[in-house]
Amino acid sequence: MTDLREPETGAPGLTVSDLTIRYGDTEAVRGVSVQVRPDETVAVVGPSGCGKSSTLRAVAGLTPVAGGAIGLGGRDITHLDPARRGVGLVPQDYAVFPHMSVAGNIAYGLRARRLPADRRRRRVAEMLELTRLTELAGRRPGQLSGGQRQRVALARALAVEPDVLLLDEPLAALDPQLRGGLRRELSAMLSSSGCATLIVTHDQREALSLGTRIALMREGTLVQFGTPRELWEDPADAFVADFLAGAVLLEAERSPDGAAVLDGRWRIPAEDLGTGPTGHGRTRLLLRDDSLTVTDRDDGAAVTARVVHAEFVGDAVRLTVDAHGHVFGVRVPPDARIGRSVSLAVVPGRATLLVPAP
Amino acid sequence: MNRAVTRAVCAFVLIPILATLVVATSVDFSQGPWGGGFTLDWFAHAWPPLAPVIVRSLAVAALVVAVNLVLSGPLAWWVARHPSPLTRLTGYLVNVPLAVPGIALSVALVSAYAALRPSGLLLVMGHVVFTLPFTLAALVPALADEELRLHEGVARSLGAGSARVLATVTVPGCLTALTQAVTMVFALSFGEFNISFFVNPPATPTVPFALFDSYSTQRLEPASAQSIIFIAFVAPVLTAIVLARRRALRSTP
Repeated sequence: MTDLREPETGAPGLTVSDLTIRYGDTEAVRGVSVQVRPDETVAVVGPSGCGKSSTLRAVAGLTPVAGGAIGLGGRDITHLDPARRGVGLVPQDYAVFPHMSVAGNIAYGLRARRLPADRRRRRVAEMLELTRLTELAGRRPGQLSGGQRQRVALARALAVEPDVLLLDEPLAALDPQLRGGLRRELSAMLSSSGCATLIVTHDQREALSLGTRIALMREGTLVQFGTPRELWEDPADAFVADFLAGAVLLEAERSPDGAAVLDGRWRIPAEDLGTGPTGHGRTRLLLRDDSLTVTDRDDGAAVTARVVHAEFVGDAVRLTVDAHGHVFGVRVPPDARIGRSVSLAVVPGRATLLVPAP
Repeated sequence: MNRAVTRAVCAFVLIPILATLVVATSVDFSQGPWGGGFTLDWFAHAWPPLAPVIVRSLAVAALVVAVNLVLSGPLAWWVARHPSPLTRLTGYLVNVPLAVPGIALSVALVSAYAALRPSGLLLVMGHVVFTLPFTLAALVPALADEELRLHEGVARSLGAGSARVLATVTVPGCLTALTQAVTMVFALSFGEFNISFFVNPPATPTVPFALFDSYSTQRLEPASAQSIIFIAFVAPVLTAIVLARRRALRSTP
């Protein structure tokens, strides 16, 4: 369920209320409100330049706030010095201090907080064990792989027992082949840390797999905030559907025998449609990559579309087609003979009609 | 091709030094290389009068480095971290002494601050004005580096105060640039002739002035021996510059 209510800055965990950030005359973030409960991971996701990293930097105190408030653990930290906020920051390329060993990096925040040497050593040992870096404690960052550097940055941030952990594009600097495994590894480490976590990413898969809730941003504003399932099953608008799931969301009119879309030019029989509730007020049809098929039917249940592009994806050919100004994706067998236009029909049960709750 | 060019440049620099060494070790160079035989006597002859001059030049160079760092550190920080028309103008103005002939700079300094001349402070001032652009050229890009600023941000988020961030992140992050700046300023001050010639009182010369005096008034052999001693003092500093540059290249991803 979308939650755009203004949170209280005195609440536990992290609360960002009506946040506005300006760079000169440019408003990078406008009125964004997000809450991260303790033990929860919120993924802020959106395309490049949407203001997600600025939001994270504002929480860390590295970017000045033009309006709104930031609360952490019941304290108002909107204008507090970064050193006194109680955040653990893991930047995009990890920013591991190159002149210090792995253990030296992890101990940095503990030294800054003047923790006695014996407690500092114990905490560093705990963090090395948590992030499986014990064997590499004496190494310099230049001798580590990308994944190992990420774990050093994570251990360094967690060592100070922050009220919130801030991760900026945690997997973006890694090779694509490694990301799947490291995503699962990161997820497990975050779960065992038990720390409120705010992750910024442009990768929807990362957001869906790491976030207990997802805040989706576009052009400096928050578009939708909810659980991955809520955003997946009931996107607020066509942008959310497309960005998060590569799906198409069409305005629809429901009738007893089905639904009409594309201004009535495509009538989909009721027996072909699944239905789901929506909290966004209007009846809409949600079509994913597997919702459509190419058909020989030429009645009102099919719509004619122009083939824009065909792409071989191994087990299938993915067609990009245009029907009355709307672009859809549809998969066909690799050996299918495809002309310049195709008739599209819904695969029974694979398209969802989102209907407002009565 | 590159290696051949490097070797040619090395030869171009080394040949005059070797020639000077040959002169300095010849009993009588007017009879040709090692004419009258090989000797180290000219070094023994050159060292006693040159030693206090070298100590003076080393002291001046060390003072110039110290004053330079005290001035250029905050100035470079301000220029790098607060880009504005004013900081850009400051950057240009600092470079002006490089374009002004040494004699003009010296006359201006002597006219404006004549009282500082006898103590040698005017010489230090002149060298600072002359070397400041080199320090800024090394430090401003290092301090403006986005990665360094991110490291500082992370250190602050971990609870470090400004002084700790400066000592544990900023200075180590700029160490290569700092080493380059310090060695460059030291070498420039130690070998500077123009301003020293006009600003410094003749009774307390610096090494380049003493060398000029020797070549003007003495035999070629002892003057060459003084040159070799001078080179021996400068060589470690120049080696440090080369090593610092190599380190900077290695640490570049």
